[in-house]
Amino acid sequence: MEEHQWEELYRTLLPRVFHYFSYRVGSIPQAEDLTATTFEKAWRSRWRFRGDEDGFARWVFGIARHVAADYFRKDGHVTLALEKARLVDEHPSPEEYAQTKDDFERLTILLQKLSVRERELIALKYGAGMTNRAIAEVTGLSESNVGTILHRSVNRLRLLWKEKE
Amino acid sequence: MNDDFLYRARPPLRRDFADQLYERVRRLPWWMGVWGGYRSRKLTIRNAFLALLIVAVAACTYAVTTPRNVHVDGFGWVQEHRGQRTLYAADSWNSSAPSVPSSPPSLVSVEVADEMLDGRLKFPTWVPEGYQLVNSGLRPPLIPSHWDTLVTWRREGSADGQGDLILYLRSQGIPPLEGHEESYVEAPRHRWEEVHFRNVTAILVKGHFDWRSMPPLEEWQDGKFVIRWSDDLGYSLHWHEDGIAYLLETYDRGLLPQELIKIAESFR
Repeated sequence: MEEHQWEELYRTLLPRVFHYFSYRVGSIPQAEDLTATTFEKAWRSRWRFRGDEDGFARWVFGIARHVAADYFRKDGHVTLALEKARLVDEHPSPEEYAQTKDDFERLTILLQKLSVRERELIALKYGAGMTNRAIAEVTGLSESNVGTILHRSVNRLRLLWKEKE
Repeated sequence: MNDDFLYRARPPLRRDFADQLYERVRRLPWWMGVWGGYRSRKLTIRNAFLALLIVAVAACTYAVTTPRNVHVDGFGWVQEHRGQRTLYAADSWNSSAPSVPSSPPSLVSVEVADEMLDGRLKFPTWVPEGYQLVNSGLRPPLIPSHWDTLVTWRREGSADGQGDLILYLRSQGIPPLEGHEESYVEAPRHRWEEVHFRNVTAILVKGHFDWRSMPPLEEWQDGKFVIRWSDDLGYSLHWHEDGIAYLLETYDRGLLPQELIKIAESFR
C-alpha cells in the first residue's frame, strides 16, 4: 500500500472507527485510545492486506472488533463507562456542541441496557456508518438478521428514550 | 429518536487527536510488530534449531493443506487450483471478484471446510443461467453463534447487492427452523410454507424483513414487537441437512421460488 493511499484511507476511516468505539465503550478518551490502537495495528500489518478500498475498511473494522473484544475481556468492562469527557471540535457552535454532548451521554446510558451484540450492531451501523451488508460481512450474521436485530434494538432505544422523557 | 438522531449523537472527533495519531502512526518503523518480538531473543543453537523446526513444520503443513480454488462453471463446481490461501472466483473467468481481506476473518476453501465437517458439506451443482460466483470465502466453523460460511452468486448486470444469491451455512449451535431470533426465519406464519426435496423439509419464506427504513413506534403493539415485512424483496429457503443448517437468501426479485428450490435440490 502506497503512503498516499494510506493517508486517504486514514482520513476516511478515522472518524468511522472513532465513532464505532464511542458507541461501543461510551467514553471519549477510551474511544480515542482504542482508535489509536486499531490504526497502529493496521499500520504495522498493512503489508498483510491485499484488496480494494472496501476490503480495507472491512479489514480495519475486523481489527477494531478484536481491539474492542480485548478491551472488554482484559479490563473486565462489562458495562459502559460513562465519563464526563470534554469534547473539543472546531466546527460546531457552542449550542450544537452542548446538545450533541447531552444526546451522546443520554444515549450512552440507554445503550447499556442493550445486549453486547445489539450494542455492537448499533455501533457499526450508526457509529461507523456501515450498511447492513457490510455489517453482515464483518460479523458473520446474515444480512436479514442484521436488519432484524437493528430494527429491534432501535425500537427498544426509542421506547427507553421516551420513558426517560 | 430516529436514524438521523443516532447519527447526529456521535461525538465529534478532535482535530488534534486525528493529526497527532497520524503522525504517531507514520513514525512507527515498518518492521514493528513483525520482527520486534524476535529482536530480544538471543541467537543460540537451541533457538536456531527451534526456528528451523517451526519453518519446516509450517512448510509441510502448507504443502499438505493448501486449499484449492473452485468455481461454478454454469452447472457445477468443476475447477480447482492449488496455491492460494483463500478461495475466490478464478481470475480467468471473473476478474471482478471482490477482494476479501486475508485477515481477519481467516477463510478456507470449500474443500477444507468440507473436510472439517467430515464430508457432510453440500453445495449446489446448478444455479440459474446468468449467475456468477463472486465470493466464496468460507469461515472455519469455529464460531457457534454465527453463520459460518458465505458464498455469493450475482446475476449479470445487476447492481451491487440487488441481484445477489447468498448461501449461508452453519454447523454449530444450529437454531430451529422457525420461531428463533437467530434463525432468521422469524417470519409471520403466513409468510412461509414448508417445501420438500431430497427427503428434506425446508421453509420457504416470502419476502424479507424490510430494513430499508425504520418503522414508527406504533409497530410495538400491546407491548409486543411486530416485524414489518416486504413482499418485494425476494425469497429465502432454510433447511437442515446432515447436521448443517443452510440458508439460501436472495434479494433478487427476478429469481422465482421454484428456481430457489431447484438450486436446493441440486445440492450434492
